[in-house]
Amino acid sequence: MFLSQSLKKFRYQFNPNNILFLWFNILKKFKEKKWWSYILGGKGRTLILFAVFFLTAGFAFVNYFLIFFAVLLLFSTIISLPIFYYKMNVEELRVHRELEKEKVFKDDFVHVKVVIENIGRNSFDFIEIRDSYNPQLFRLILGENFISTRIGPKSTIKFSYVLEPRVRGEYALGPLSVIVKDRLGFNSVERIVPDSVTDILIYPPYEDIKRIEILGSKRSLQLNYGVQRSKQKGLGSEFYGMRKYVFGDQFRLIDWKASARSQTLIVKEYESERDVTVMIIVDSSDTMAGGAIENTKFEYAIRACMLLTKVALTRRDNVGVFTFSDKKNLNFLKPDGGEEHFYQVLDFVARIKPQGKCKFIEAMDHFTKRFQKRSLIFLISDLEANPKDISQAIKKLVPFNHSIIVINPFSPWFEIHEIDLSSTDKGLAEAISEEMMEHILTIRHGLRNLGINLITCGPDDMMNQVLSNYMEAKKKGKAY
Amino acid sequence: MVRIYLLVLKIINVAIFFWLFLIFFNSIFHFDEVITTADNELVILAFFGAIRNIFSYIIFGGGMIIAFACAILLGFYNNYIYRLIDVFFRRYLTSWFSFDVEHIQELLGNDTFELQDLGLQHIPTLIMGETEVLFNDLYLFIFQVLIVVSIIYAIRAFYSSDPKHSLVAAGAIMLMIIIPLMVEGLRSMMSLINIHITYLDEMVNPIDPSLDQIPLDDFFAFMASPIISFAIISYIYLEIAFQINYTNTVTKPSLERSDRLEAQLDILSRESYFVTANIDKIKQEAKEKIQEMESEQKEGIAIGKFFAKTGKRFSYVKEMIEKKKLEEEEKKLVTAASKTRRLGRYVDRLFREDSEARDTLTASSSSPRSRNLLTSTLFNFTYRLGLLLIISFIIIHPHWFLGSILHLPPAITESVAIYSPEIIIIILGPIMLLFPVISKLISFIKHRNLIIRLQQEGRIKEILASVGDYVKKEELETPIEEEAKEIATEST
Repeated sequence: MFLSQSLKKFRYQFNPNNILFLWFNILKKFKEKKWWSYILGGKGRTLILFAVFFLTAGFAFVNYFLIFFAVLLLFSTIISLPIFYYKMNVEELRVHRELEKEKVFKDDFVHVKVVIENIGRNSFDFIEIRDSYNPQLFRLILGENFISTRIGPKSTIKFSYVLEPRVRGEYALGPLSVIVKDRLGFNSVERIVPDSVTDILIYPPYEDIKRIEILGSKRSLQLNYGVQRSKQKGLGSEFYGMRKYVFGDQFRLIDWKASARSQTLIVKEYESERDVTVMIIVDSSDTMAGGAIENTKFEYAIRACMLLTKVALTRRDNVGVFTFSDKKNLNFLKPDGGEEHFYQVLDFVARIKPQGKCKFIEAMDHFTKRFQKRSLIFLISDLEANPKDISQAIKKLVPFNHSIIVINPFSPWFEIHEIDLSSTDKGLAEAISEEMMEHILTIRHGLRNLGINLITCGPDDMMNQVLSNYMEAKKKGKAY
Repeated sequence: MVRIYLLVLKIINVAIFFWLFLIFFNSIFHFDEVITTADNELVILAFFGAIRNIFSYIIFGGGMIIAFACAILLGFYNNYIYRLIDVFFRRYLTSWFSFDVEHIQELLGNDTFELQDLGLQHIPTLIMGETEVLFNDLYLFIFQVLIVVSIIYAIRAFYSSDPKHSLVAAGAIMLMIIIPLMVEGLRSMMSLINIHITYLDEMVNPIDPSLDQIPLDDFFAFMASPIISFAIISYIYLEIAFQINYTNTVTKPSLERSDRLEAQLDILSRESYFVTANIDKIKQEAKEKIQEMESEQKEGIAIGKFFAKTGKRFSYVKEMIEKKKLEEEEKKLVTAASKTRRLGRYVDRLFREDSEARDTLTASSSSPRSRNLLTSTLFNFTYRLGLLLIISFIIIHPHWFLGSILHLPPAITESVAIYSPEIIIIILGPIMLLFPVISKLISFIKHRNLIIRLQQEGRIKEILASVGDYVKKEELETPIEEEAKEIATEST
């Protein structure tokens, strides 16, 4: 069992095709005139050149001293070759990676440990182990991801390094590569450790949630956060209080007597234990991935989604998430409540990649088939699609009596991340933003006819907009 | 300890180089023949003297030509001017150049020649004569240069551990043997076609005749001859250089990594405590800076304004860049401080929870022990050298090998061809190819045995699964909520 497990775990396993592959490669290298690279390293080649020179000189001048010296040099490069191959039981060199955690928040740190174990009786005079990672996705914080050393028989060597994930998502770490050399560096063999790629899931940054938690613990947001009761209008509910009428309040809630007394419109407020279902619909099309890789619209949308989920769940609402782009990329997480559900949402959004064309109508068709319950819907999208299609798609939600809020991250604000722009780029940016603005205004006009509010925001106010709109909706008792 | 071991190896190699030098100059190379010229003048002085003289003649002659040319071109050339230039150059300027009169007389072949008689017509002859001297000295001068190069590279090899330097040092010594052999070969070739070049004939041969008298028939006499000892010591010098390079490559990264990481961790812990203690102050400073920058902006940044399209025209790009600048300022102070603090906390926690984390980060355990290195170096060095000597002897003695080992008939072993050096190739080629072929066979047999063993154990599928997609892996469902919750708790 142990052997079986270890063989599975360790990467130097054998494939009979390897022999064929090896010969195929030798033939290929012969054709490429690189055949000597199978036998000799760089130092060996230098020595061979010296030897050939001395040998030629020795024969030319009939000098046995030069011939003898050349023979010494020539054979010094290949004399260890059989012993090198005899001792090089790469199968006995087991290399694997140990991750401190396979799921980590963006901007958090992950400790990666590489374990090299020589289970054989022979030592490896010179090994180089390198663990690969994508520098665009991870930043090396401490340590080094490679090592050059010697490993004795029946011994283990460990080295580690600390990485900082830079981008949310599911990414691969690895593979591990091993270079075994003879001690003088004349002969070498390089192998990629099979099955040495580990997937690591990067959650969105926890910073926003942490900030909210700190604020909640301080009770500084008395009305916004930490209050567990939901206010709701309607019969059979508990009276909560009275306040001035604001635009959008239902007329039936107006207290005419109180209004007459105060000479201004007053509405009654009730509270109840009933939950609101909040559906967060996030556009995951490729246009959402524009801008700096760490701060795309999609990344902000995911952060907003996380924040909204956290706040809504704390207020005992149910939260569901739907991400969409084209037919292949429709992901639905059914609404649920409770603290546990937050982590489900976290895991769900961490795996979503912005890809595919934005097919609004198809996405909303799919959504309405999966979910019909009246709810408070937050649609986060850059709206880079045909305005007619967008209006038509959102119209499909209207019959279900949802309260819909469209949050629109304004593309140019997110996509320009360079400070030093040339005058041409500046002009281009101005033109694009003007065009984008016209496009958004057209959509806004169409949505206003449906009674839906479109909020355009930049990276700085996106979180605030999402939170304040949620609070406002709760205050007005929408979607009960 | 490893560093001491490396130093000892380097000292040994320097001693070997010194030994090499001693054997070379005592038994192989007659240095006294290349240190002085035929006139008993030091080669270096003669060589640089010739260069100096050539330039002096060029400047003297050139100056004279320019002076006459100027006088003619400016139109005041007459007898008086001619005399003035002539006297000035002959009487005054010649004394400034400090020409060797005897040498000039020798070059011009005129014993009565005086320096005052030096004229423009003598310059080409003198330059040609000096060039000849220079070329005569150049051959001897090359040996001096090679000696200097060899010593310099041997010193560099001591400091840098790069075998390239040792190769150059040994190569320079070998060139001191090859160059006279080349001259000798050229001379013999020329004499075959009855051409005798005086310049070539005059070149000295500093190589001891014993270089061509290697006792080939007796193994012990062969090994004991100073020429072969010299070749073996040269090889040992290179072999140790490669061993030094190996020791250095294997140990230095680990040691450096360990030192670097320890320093980093030390700085991190200090900075982390500093940031933790001063975070409020840093934040306040950042806030003040941002406020300062914001107050400079007369109008704020608001997307609403952009959409409103009223009042003063809103420049999106300008606002965007200003905002980015503010963010940059903020990042500089707060983000850096926050990251340092977080990293400090993380490293503290990591070291608390994982007892071996510090060792693995610094990779302090990965550095090989000097004892192991010493044992393996000695073993490796001995067997390599022993094997090399045997193989080299076999290759150099085809007569013995073909007669005693292969038992070939006397018609072959006693043929004229057997005693020519080219016969070495007949043995050298196959023996050389034998090593890669044997190694490939070993590799093939080992891999085949492994496959058979795995097939017998019925585990080949499992192994292939780990290599490719032979068997579809079962995905394990793990309760993600608990895992994620755990991570979040850790993160907070």
